[in-house]
Amino acid sequence: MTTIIRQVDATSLDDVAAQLRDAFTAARSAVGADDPIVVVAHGADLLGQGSVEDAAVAGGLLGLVRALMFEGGRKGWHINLIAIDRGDEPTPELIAAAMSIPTLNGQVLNVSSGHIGKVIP
Amino acid sequence: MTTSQGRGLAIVTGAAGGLGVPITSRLVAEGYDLLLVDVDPAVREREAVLATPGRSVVSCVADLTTESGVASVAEAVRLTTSPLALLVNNAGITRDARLMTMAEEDFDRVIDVNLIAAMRLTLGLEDLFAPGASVISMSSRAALGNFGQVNYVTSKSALAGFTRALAQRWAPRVRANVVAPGLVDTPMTRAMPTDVLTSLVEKIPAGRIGTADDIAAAVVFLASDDAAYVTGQILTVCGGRSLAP
Repeated sequence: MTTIIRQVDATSLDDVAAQLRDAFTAARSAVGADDPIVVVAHGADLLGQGSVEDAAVAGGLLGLVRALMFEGGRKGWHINLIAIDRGDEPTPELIAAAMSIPTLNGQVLNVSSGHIGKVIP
Repeated sequence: MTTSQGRGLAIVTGAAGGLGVPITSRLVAEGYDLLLVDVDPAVREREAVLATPGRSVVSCVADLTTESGVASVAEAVRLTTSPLALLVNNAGITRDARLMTMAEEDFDRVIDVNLIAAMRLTLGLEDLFAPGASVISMSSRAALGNFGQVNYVTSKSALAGFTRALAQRWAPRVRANVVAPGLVDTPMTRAMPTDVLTSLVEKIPAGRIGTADDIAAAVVFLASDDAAYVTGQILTVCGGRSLAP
């Protein structure tokens, strides 16, 4: 199984904290079950182009991915982040790649439309 | 921003400890009036230490994880005559543990203090910032990943995300940037086993551990008119560690 953690719109600081906590607990459960993890976030929010709440969530999810890769990459934990446009869905092929290619780990797979020429976090 | 009365008011959270001490020392020397904020009452003692002729230095004991704490800081700003020129979101904590043993409350607490409190304070002060003011939030090189710190890394990466959006939302009136320190000589790092600390320093291309003054200098730069065209950026102050193997 693959655990997919999806960014949803946040409208308050409580939403931000709750979403990051939920991502943490979902990621921990996945690691405990030896499941690969795919985090789906909005590319525009990674660039800070939306609300401050959504940008904090997207940035936090990216940090979560990097922290887990740092701690567990050598132990076989597998986690990537797919950045999409709001309203889009990652293709099954992309999710399959994100969960299964061993050397594709701890990465941002950016298939959103607005990131060219921008500082990528 | 610079006025005939000085550089205006700088608020520094976490002013009583760690990096707060050197940052506030540098800022008052640079001509800022200071509002020192900390949950630790020891921040009051810093008022006397930093007293400088012609400068106002006041303190505010506040828990920024509460609305009342933010309100007390806003009230302290309103009581000053100096325009709000700078906010340094410096308060932060760690609650390190491996992923599988980290208590959920320790994850929540680090997010609340390092991220949510900084967001609450910054947004709560929105109407008080003077044109040309600056927000600087202290993240960490660890936001790129670190062992046993999923809570801390998440919070500091989220703080950078918040800053990217804030910079765009408040431009051109207020700038927002991030300082991301690497390994810095503090009481916490001095408590590390010597061999561990030595091995960490050996990975730093600059060949030495960072000093608190290195970090304070980065804050002063980003707050200054020299950085007037810099917003939404992360200044990583780590001696090159973020690039080295």
